[in-house]
Amino acid sequence: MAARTAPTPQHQPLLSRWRINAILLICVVFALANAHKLFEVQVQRHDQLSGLAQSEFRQNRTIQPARGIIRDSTGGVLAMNVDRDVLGVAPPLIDDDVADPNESDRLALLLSPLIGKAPSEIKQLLQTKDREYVVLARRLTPEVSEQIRALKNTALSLTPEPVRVYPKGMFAANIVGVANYENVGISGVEGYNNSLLAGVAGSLEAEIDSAANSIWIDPPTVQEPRDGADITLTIDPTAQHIAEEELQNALINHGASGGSITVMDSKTGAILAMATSNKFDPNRYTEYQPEIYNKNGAITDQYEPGSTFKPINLAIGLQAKAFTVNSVVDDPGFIARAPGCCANFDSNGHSPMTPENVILYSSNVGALQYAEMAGEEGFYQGLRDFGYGQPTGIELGGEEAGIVQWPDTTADWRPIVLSTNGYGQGIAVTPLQHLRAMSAIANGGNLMQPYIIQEWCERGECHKVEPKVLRTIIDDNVAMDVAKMMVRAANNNYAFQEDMWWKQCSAYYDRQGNGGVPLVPGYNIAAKTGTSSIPDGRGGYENATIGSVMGFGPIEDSRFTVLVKLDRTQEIWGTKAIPVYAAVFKRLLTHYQVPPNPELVHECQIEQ
Amino acid sequence: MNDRVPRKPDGMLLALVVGLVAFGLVMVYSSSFYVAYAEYDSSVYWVLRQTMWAIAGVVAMFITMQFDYRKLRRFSLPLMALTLFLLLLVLLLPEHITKVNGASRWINIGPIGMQPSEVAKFAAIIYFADWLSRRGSKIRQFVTGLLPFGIMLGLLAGLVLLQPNMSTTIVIVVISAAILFTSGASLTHLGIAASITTLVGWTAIQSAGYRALRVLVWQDPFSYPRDGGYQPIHALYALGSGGWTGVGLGQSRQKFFWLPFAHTDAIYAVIGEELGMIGAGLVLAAFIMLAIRGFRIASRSLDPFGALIAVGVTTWLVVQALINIAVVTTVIPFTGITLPFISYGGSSLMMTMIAAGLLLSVTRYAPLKRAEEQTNERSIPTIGQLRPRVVAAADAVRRWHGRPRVPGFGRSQRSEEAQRASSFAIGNSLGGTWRKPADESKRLIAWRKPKQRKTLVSQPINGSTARERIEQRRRNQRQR
Repeated sequence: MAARTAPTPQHQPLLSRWRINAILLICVVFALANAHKLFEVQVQRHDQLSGLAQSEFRQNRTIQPARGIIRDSTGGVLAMNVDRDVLGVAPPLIDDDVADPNESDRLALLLSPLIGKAPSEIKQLLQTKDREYVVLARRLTPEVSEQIRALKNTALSLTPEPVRVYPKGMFAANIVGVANYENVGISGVEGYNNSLLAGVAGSLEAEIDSAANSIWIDPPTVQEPRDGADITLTIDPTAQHIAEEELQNALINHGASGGSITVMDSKTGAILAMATSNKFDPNRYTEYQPEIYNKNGAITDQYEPGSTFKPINLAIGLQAKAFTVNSVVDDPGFIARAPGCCANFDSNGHSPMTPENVILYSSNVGALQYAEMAGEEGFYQGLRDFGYGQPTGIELGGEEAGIVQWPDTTADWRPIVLSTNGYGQGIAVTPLQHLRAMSAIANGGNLMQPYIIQEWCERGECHKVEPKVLRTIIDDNVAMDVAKMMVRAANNNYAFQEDMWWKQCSAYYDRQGNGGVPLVPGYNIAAKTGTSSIPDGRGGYENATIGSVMGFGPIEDSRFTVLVKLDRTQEIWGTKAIPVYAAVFKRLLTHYQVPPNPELVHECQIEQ
Repeated sequence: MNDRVPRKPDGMLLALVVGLVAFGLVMVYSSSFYVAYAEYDSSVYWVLRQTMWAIAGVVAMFITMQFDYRKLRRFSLPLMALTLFLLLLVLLLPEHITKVNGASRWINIGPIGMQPSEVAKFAAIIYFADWLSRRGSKIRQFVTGLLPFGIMLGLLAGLVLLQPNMSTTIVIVVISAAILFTSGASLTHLGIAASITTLVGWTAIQSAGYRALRVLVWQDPFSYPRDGGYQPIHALYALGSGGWTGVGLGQSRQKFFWLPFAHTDAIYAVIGEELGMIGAGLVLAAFIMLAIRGFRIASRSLDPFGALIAVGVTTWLVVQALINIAVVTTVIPFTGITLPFISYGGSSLMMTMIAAGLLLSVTRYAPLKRAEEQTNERSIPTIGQLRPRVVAAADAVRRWHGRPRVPGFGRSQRSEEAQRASSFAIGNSLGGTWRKPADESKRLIAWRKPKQRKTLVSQPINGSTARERIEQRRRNQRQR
């Protein structure tokens, strides 16, 4: 140490200045390299890099508008929005490292029972390392969300998203329809009025930090979203409930394969109830076939109306003054128009055949002849006026137009078409279309625009939908004449009464059509049965039939027009729809507190 | 050895250091307030600590500055031994004492933590400066020069590399190499050593997977937006957003959690974003200025030990800054290293301040030769060296007496000996030393001074003549 502490070393090194300058030169060159790169990055690539940086921290976000709420006419909510969690995972954050090589296995097994997916499927998603974010499950219930949150796994994330919820489940589902997982309506009111319900998305342009919090150096620009309109339907929950319940009972009791019950306000054209056999829970729509949740039988099923068409036929003829209520034709039970055509359903003749008896006896031969009396031009003009062959324009998705063989547009049109159309064959209608035509008779001749949206409110401003008369197609008295004929048929026809009052009132029946026993005690209810064949798709007809009853009442001041349609009932003539029709009417009249007329209660109906 | 009055410290160096530290405080606040607020509920959390460290650092710098660096010679070997011991200790102590952020670099005892690798930089500078300055021409021999140097450096750098701490290893190797190069080592040896170092460095890179990945990321950071490319990409985003003039002080967007280590390793990117090419360029220029001043002191020091310390410290501060800037601008692959004086980091700031104090101590205590004098006769005079001669000649003609223009010296009635002795102090202000006396004999005496001192080494007292000691005493009395 002594030598080391010597103040001055023995051999002074020769410090060369050039060496120090060389080091300085190296430093300067290094610094110049940095400066050059700095210039390249900061000035030459300024636009590119600042653009990339801005695309990262300047976020343009869509603010989703709230989808409109759908309510029934009493304000009961049929469709609404709630926030449910989306389970996402960031696969790169799952450590498949040496410490825990089986983390994705473990996680897959943990999540499998919670989200109802196979572990292998989950694991496959967890191992898509090239993706930043993978959605594992959506629409988690709060309980499942809580369980997943308790896992405290940083790779998993729960993000709330608005989810469409239908609190009443299957109730009126065929009307309300479904909005899919992207909140786009795909059927029913949701589908047809999607743009109205969806609203307009807003946007928020803001600068964010890497945790997506706004940093507000530049104030964010906000474009407020416009929330979707709230829709109130004309559907009366009680009427809908009645219709659904009666239809369900009918399906069970009579073994029908399907059917629909539709109730329309005779005067306004508002749909009060629309029950179909396609029942599904819109909250779980993916578990059903698309043809179930996409189809509303009341507007999509085209069928031959059969005898329920006869009142329309008569109304057309009476309005065209081709005959009068007192006109008479011969009905021998069959009439030759084409090979194998045309006979009454029971081949019995009921001469002399007045228009009234056409309804009472459901005479095909009579209806055929009156149609021919109306003539090709008059009859088809009448069909056009009644709105056949064209969609009604109701605010529901998937409506069909019906099929009419118009003489001027059908290539091989023959007069036999007119003849069979007279009793409702060779023509296809939708239940709603048919119902609208019947409502015109019920309300004294006004063809109404059917509607299901009573009111829609957007940003506090409500628009009430007013009933709309499309055109007046028949006169008052013609309508009342037809209505009376239908009441008489309902009160006297054997087919009608056999399941209703036959046992207790058989003594009072007057087959000549005087008096009779009211179908619904206390009211004059018009009704007409119909039995239609079902095309089998091979040019012929199935062995089964569609039984339907259509009518309205009370005829003095008609409130409801109802169509009950049962497909493929066990009973071939389809008369099983009659007690269903009567029950629906009875309950509707009770619910709406329509006062009964005591004179219209037959004594045999009292003792119960 | 305190045979001469300490001069004033180099004003420009002092101004540069204090200015950089003050600027650093502003930038640390600007780059850290959001993250500090998010993590500690206090936007001044880090800047407050940095301010306290800066005050302590300035105090430490002034204390170091007052200390005669020449006394450090006697500490060179103990310091080295202590450093090696500490470095070994870091590797041997349990991880909970040493491990911070995945590497064993610290010795944490209670609240006090220190990084032996920071001390290692000092040890390398002082030890090698001392050793090489007393070796003389022996260092040109392989066995007496490069080999012991290489063993010592290998030991020191190897222990740091094992921590692992690549960036500090690089800095230590570069500092040591600069000292070795300046001390006149054989260029052939240096070439061999450089090849070996490159080989070892390359092996080190290949041996650690993360280092090899860093090279890949450096070549194209945008292909690795997640694995290691995230930080370079966001540093480039920050710089690129700056343009010429920057987005304005405090307006950086990348510091909002986008850019990792925004207030420490990556603070230069925030400077570039907020103050633009101009601000970032000025910081770069400040370090170049520091380099020019530091190396100039080294060039002009007549004391090789002081010269080598000046070279070592200047290389340390400048190379560390340039590496940091090069990492941020992706000129070189990523390595974690702070920007001296500016980055947040208490002990790092403290160490660099002490280093700056050491450099300033050299400017105060080192015997300087005047600008025009050349130790190396082979070198070609530069224009800067020629210019003072011309000016001085003209000056001397104008002032017929040929004495220094400084009043205190010009008027004194001291002997020529006293003039000679005090002539070293003429370089008080480094910029003013070109005003040399025109008298050729004085110049020669001054030039011969080292040789005279060499003959006086065996003298027991201070290595100066009795006459000089008397003069010294007088001067001291006068100053009191």
